[in-house]
Amino acid sequence: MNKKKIMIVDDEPDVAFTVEHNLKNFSNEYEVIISESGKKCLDSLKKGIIPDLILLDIMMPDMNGWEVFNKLKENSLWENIPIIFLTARVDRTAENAGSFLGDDYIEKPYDPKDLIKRIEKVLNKK
Amino acid sequence: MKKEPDIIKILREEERLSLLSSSSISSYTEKTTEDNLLNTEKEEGNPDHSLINTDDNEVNIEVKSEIERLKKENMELQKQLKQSKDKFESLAEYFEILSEQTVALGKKDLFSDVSDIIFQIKPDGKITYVNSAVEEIAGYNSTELIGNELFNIIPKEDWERLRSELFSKQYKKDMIKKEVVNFETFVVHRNKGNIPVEINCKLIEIAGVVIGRKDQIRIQGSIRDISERKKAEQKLKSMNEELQAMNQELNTTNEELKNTQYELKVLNENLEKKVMKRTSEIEKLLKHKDEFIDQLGHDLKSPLTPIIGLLPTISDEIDDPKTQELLDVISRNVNYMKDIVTKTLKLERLNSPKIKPNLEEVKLFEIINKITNNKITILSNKKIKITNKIKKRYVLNADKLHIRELFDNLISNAIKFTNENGKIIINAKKENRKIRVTIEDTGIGMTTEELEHIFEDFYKADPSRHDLESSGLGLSICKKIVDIHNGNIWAESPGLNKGSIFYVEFPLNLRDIM
Repeated sequence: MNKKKIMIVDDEPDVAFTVEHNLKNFSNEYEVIISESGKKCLDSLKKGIIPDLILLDIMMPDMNGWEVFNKLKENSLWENIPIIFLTARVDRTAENAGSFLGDDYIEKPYDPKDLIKRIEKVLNKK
Repeated sequence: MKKEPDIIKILREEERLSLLSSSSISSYTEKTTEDNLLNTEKEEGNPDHSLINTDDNEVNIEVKSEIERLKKENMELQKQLKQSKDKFESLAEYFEILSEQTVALGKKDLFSDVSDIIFQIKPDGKITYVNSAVEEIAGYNSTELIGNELFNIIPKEDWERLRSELFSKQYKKDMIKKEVVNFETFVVHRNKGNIPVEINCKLIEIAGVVIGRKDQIRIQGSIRDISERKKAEQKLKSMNEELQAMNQELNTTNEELKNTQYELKVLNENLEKKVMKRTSEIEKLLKHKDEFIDQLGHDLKSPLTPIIGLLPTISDEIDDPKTQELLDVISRNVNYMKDIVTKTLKLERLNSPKIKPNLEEVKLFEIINKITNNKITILSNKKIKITNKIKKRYVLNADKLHIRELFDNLISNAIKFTNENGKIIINAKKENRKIRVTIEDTGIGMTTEELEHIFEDFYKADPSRHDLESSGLGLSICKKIVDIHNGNIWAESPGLNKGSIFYVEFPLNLRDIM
């Protein structure tokens, strides 16, 4: 059985590390790819690394989550990759856009159990 | 001319007298002739011839002396006649004077009751006639003034002006214009001072005067006391002045008003500019604040993420009960901090004036079920029975995320304040175009004091504020959410340990209302 590739796009290494830890701690079925920026995420995709799900932060320097989201939806190879926004933002735009545009929206700081549950749900939907 | 008959009488008398005198002469002559005849007859009775002849010289002498006597008598009569004539002439003359005086008297009478001064003066200013009105107006008796100069009672310069007006313009050697000259001056009253008058006068000629003879010219006219008119004029003038002053004042006020208006306009414009500037400043500040909150939220939540995400793993791996206890304290406080941070930020968002609910169809039963399903662990731990009695067809037009937040908070509260083996019932009822949701628990209940404050920010039922499971903001957030949906929220409790009921009411046509 293939491992599920989960890409974490977050500029904060500690957060990325925590998410990675939570996922691996829950199940060894998860393969985690960490991108410290939107650019790095796109670079990986261009290299042909296509994840099963992207956990996308919104507030990032240089290229924010919305921009990354748009780039992903512009490319036919990437547009079907499920996206869960994982953000510390509190404004309604993020909340709405997150839940409408993406497949889900999880607010930081998250409950690890809740995070796993929602990731599984999105993966199963696919 | 009533006297004319008398004149005629007198004249007739004269005639009669003259007739009388001539008839007496003739009668006398007749008489003498008769006498002579008689004498002749007498003598005829007698032998005439002889008598005549004898007495011829004697008779002649007698006749002669008689004629002489008659002549004398005649002369005497002639003399008497002349005397009579002279007397008549002098009488007639006297009469003429008398009648002139009478006319003059008549004139005086004619003007005596006139209130204006009527005057006649010579070109040199000497008064020839003035009526009695002068006493009233100038304080002099008319007889005192006749023969005096007019400028005794009017200012000399005005008299000179009048004179030049009349003589330089109206008097020429062969012609006199008789245009009325009118001017205003004043009479110097003997006792009362100056009295304003109006003089109307013109040149006249005395009857039968040869044109061009200045001394036969008179100035005739009237002087009218115009004190009353002057007073009225003065009053009118002062009233006019008053009016003008008032008008001036009004104009000034008007001007001031205009200025004030202009100033106000400028002020208003400035104010508007200021308000606009301030508004844009505030908008900028608000935007800045929003950005700040976003950043702050992000920066507070980000460091909490690894702590909250990693603590359960550590907790799982610890076997030592003492360390586990320490970790529990850390977890509890970290979670409290997370709760405070997320809820404060949420409430801040809900308080924003820009907030608008994102309306969509919300199925009440489903959303409540989802919330309760998420709480299965704690519910089973506390052995609390929760019942969702809401009819499946009930749909709200509301903001789904807000509604989820609202009921999540209310249900969490109900679970938190309900003891083990308790019950929670959730129901909904449609009434008067409203839908009312009730969350009823068998929990600790509330005092009336608590009921009054539960929807206030940071209110905690525990006054010591040691309750780390509550941020004190949950119900504030609920109230905000209900408010932006134009609904109502309130709670009731029969008392401590008797449970609570929370009511949430939404207008049914929420989409229409908003």
